[in-house]
Formats: sequence, C-alpha cells, structure tokens
Amino acid sequence: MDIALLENLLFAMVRSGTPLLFCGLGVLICERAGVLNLGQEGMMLMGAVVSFIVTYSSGNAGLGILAGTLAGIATSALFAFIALFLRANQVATGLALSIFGAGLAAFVGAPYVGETIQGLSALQMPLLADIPLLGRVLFAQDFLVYLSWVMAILVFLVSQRWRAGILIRAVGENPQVARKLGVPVQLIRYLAVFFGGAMAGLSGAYLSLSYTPLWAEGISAGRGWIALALVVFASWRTGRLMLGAYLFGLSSILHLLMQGFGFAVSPNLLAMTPYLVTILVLILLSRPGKKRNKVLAAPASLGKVYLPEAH
Amino acid sequence: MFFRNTPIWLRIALLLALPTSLFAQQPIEPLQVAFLHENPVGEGGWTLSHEKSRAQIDEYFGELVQTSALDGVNPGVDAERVMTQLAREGKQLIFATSFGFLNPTRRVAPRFPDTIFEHASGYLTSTNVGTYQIRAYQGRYLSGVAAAMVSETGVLGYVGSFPIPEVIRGINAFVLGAQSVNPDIVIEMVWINSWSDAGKAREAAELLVFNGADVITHHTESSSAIQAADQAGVWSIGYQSDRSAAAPNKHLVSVVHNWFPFYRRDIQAVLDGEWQSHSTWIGVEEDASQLVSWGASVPPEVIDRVQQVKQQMIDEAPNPFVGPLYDTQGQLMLEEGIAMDDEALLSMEWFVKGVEGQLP
Repeated sequence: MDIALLENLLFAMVRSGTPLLFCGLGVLICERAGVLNLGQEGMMLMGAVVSFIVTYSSGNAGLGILAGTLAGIATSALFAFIALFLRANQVATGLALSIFGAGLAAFVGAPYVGETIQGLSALQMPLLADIPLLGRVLFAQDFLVYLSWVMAILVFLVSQRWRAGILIRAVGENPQVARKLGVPVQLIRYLAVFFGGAMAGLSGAYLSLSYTPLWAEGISAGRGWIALALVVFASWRTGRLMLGAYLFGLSSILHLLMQGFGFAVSPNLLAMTPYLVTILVLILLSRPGKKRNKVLAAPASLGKVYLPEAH
Repeated sequence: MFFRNTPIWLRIALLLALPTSLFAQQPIEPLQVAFLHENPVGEGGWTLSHEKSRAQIDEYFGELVQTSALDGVNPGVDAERVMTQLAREGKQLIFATSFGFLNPTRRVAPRFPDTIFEHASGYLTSTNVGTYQIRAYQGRYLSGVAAAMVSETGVLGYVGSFPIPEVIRGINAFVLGAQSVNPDIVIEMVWINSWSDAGKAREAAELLVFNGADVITHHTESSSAIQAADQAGVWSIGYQSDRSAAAPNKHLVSVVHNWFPFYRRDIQAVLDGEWQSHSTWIGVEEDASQLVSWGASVPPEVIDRVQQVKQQMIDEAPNPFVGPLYDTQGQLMLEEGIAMDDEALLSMEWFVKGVEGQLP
C-alpha cells in the first residue's frame, strides 16, 4: 500500500464517519438524559433539505448550516412536545418522527431535485496540511468536519467533566430522585432533545452541503439508524463514539474499496461488515466479568416515561 | 324541508336522474390514464424521465386525456392493492413503470379485462397487458464511443447499482462502443449495491478516479457520482436524466430516456380503439434513447463521430451486439456475424471482455 492510497483511505474514512459522529453525539446526550429518540433519520433529512434550500437560495453556506441546525431543533421540538410534554411512548413517537420527517423533507425538497450548489470548500491550514499521511486528513477538512471535532470535545467535557453532565446523568438514571434533589428534570430533558435535534440537523447539513452537495430524497440512506446503533456500540462514551463513527464510516465503504483494488469478495458479503462489526463488539462488550455493569452503562431510565407523581 | 312533500317515487327518480344529467354536461369523457412509479420522483433519474413524458402527453392530447401518477409505490403487496384500486376507480390505461410491478400486473390484469395495462421493461404480455422498453443500450454504446475518444488514460470508470440484465446490458454496450474506438480500453466497475445512496456513489466515483479512470459514468439515481467526477477534474457521462448541472466543468454528455414517442403512439391507439397487446422496444430510430447536453469543452470531432455512428445505427445497424463476442474469461459467447436477439439481450448476465471487476 502506498502513501497516497492510505491517505485517500483515511480521508474517505473521516468523510463517511462525520455524519455518524454528529448524529451520534446528539443521540448520546439525549439518551444520557433518559430520552430515546428514534426519529434521527427524520431530523437528519429535515436538516439536510433545509440547509440545502437555504444555501441554494441565498448562496451562503453559513446561513444554510444555521438553518439546517434550526430545522433539526424544530423537528426535535415536535418530538419533545409529544413525548415529553404529552408523555407519549418515546419509541412510537420517535418512529413516527422518522417517517414524518422523511415525508416532509421529500415534499419540501421536491422542487430542488437536480439542482446543485458549490459544496463547502476545504479549509487548508498552511504547512500543517503538507504533513505526509495525516496532514490532509487532519488539517484540510471543511468547516463542518472541524465543527464535529469541536462538538465531540464539548460533549466529552459536558458528560465527563462538567457538573452539567452529572445532572444529565442523574435525570437519565433516576428522574424521580433527581427531582427530589431539586434538579429540573423536564427542562434538562427538553434541552437534551433539542441538542439531539441540532446535531442531527448538522449531520444532515453535512450530507447535503459537503458530502454530496445536492438534494435527493432519502439522502441520509439509513445513517440515522446506524448512529443509534453506534451509540449502543460506544456504550454512551464520547471517545468510543468517535472511534466507532470512523470505524462504521470506513466499514460502510469498505466493500467499494475492496472492489476497487480487485479483491474477489462478494460486495453483498462486504456490505454486511458494519453490522458484523457491531455484533462482534457487542459480544466483546457483554462478556461476563466484574467490570461488566460499568462497561455497559445504559442509562437506567432510558425510554421510560417520566411521571413526577410516581413517587 | 323542500323534499318533505315529494312522493318517494319522485325522490328516487330524481336521484337516479342526477348522474345521467351530470354525464350529459360532458359530451367527451377524457381517457383516464394512470402512472405507477416504484421510486419517488424526487430521486431524479428513471421516474423523472417518465414524469417528463407524462407532462408532454398532457400538453399533446389536451382534454382528450386525463393523466395521474402515484410514485413511491412498493412493488410488493402495495402495488397490487394500488393497481386494483386504480382499475376500480375507472382508469382505462395503467402504465406500471418498473420491472418490480411484473407480478402485481400479472395478478391484477385478468380481473379487469376492460382495463389496459402496460408494464415497462418486462417480458409478459396477455390480451390486456403490453410491455414497453427503451433500447437505452444504444445511447450507452454511443456514449462509449465518445468516452474512448476523450479518454487519455484508457481507463473508464462505471459506478454500478445492482447487476441485473438492464444494468449489465448498459455496461456491455458502453464497453463495445468504447472498444470500437480503442480496442485496448479498460472499464473499471464498482458496485454500490444501492440505487440511491448518494454518499456511496460519490465514494465509488472517487475510487475509480484514484485508480486512473478519466471518464466516469453511472447507473444510479442521484447525480453524486457525476458531481464527484467533475470535482476530481475528469469527464462524466450522466444517465437517465440530464445531469449537466452537476458537472459544470467537464460534462461529456448525458444519456436520457425519452418515453414520449411510445406514450403518444400507445395512447393514440387506445383513443382510436385500435390497441392490441404488444411487446415494444424502441430506440434511436424514434429518438427514445437520446444524447443531450454535450459539454462546452467536448471536441467537435467527438460529437461528429457520435452523430455518424448514430446515423449508421438508425440506417443499417441498430444492434451493437454482433459476434464475435467474448466474456471476461475469454469464452466465445456469440458466434461471428450473428446479432444478438432480443431475448438474449433481455436476460444478459455476463460481461464482455474488457470489463474489470467481477459480476457480484
């Protein structure tokens, strides 16, 4: 393998992992707060279509990214209203949101099919980008990739270092007790859901502005669902999430790479690799042992409807 | 109430008279034509090409025909239900535009003998079922000629979706066209196992460029492969609809389907009461497979040569699949001087020599 090939491989890995990373970060915070939002696909598509339309009409990608983020938040607000305010079943609400978001995005985006925009350009850092092998991967990405790294650090700090993270976890583990201690349970859950919406919106914006600068119905192609699996894979840890996002990204394009380099492996078989990897890691993670419960730290109240009167 | 003192028989009579009086106001009933699409129009490509032709029909026939379309219809159980519903609603002519509608059409058609069903890209006909298809491989062949003329590396890249005969036929025709210019040309294939995953199509195109391809074409719904090729600075050939907008710098040409000639002829036959079951396959002779939107930087001799070959196709040699043809293993698949018949074309499941990459 020569350097150019490896460099391209790493570049493609970051590219295909970025939408998963964005969306996964949102899911992580949301689930840490005990809310299971399966509507990722819907929020992602709304983010993608709105950011594309705004960028196309205004010619300003920054405005498009902002609008996509807001669209994600707006879609998640619908989830928050039904699942948190009205206290409906979170699984059913999330599934409905996925279907609803996909339909609405298709409807809104119909006139823009086939239109193209100038994709986000790479922001090259002088000198650093010329480092062999890793230079281009780390220092010649576009704005959204850098933003995804900033968000990953932020999520790490919030969930592992800052007080806010403890509050979020308290709400996700045992909201009744958290409430007795004076933690504003509903407020934190609303904010977590909105953050999830913003991240899914950014993920969509990355797809329609940078990864493939166009709008096509169903452009997310199931990435929202993969992000949900990714968070389980990462056992709600930011570091593992980042690693997993790129691993999943790479394995989703692995079957293309293998064909391109003449390995006689069935692409059908290769297309299964992300799922095989997930199963493998789940098996590894759930080995019986002393550290088991600590490793598989799923929030105890994940997906449960919160009723303050229950205690 | 107004009707309170009206005898019951008069009320019934009035009720019965109502529909007939409504009909009387409209002396000409427009022919009810329905279109059934498997994929959403929003994905661009195949469905869009049918919808464009439908708009032309509306304009051409005016009040004689009333068309409607349903897209995103799942070819499984959904399609059968939707087709039954359409036939019950009184649609007189139903175009099922996807291969996947084969079985639903076969099941629903016998129950509605007065309704005419047309199935695109299929092979089964009956008294009220016809099939129609475009010889898109002719356009593919012509685009192969152009690709080989502009290629400097001698490697052409092809982003494939699924290895069904329709896709394979296009690849083989493209290869034969390219080989007619440069016998040593190589076609690299990458299959993405999806019709519409834009991200994968992009990655596949970049990979092909990395491997030395300097002309990229695709058989996928979105334009992302074309876009990636253009960004990488190589030529691109769009398929199914005009993709030139996705490649502002070096678009070679787009191969598009034009269904209008067939739809016009078919609907006219129904209007005249002369419709008969048929298996129609139209091509360049009726402008059904078109090359559109030549790029501004394409050398004029390329366009001239393609025009010449196209004229030859129309005048004397419509079928580019003429023996001797060998598969990738070097096995003789078609004897010298023999033109492949339509049946063999429809069921093609092997690559001609010159294609790199296995049939998955």
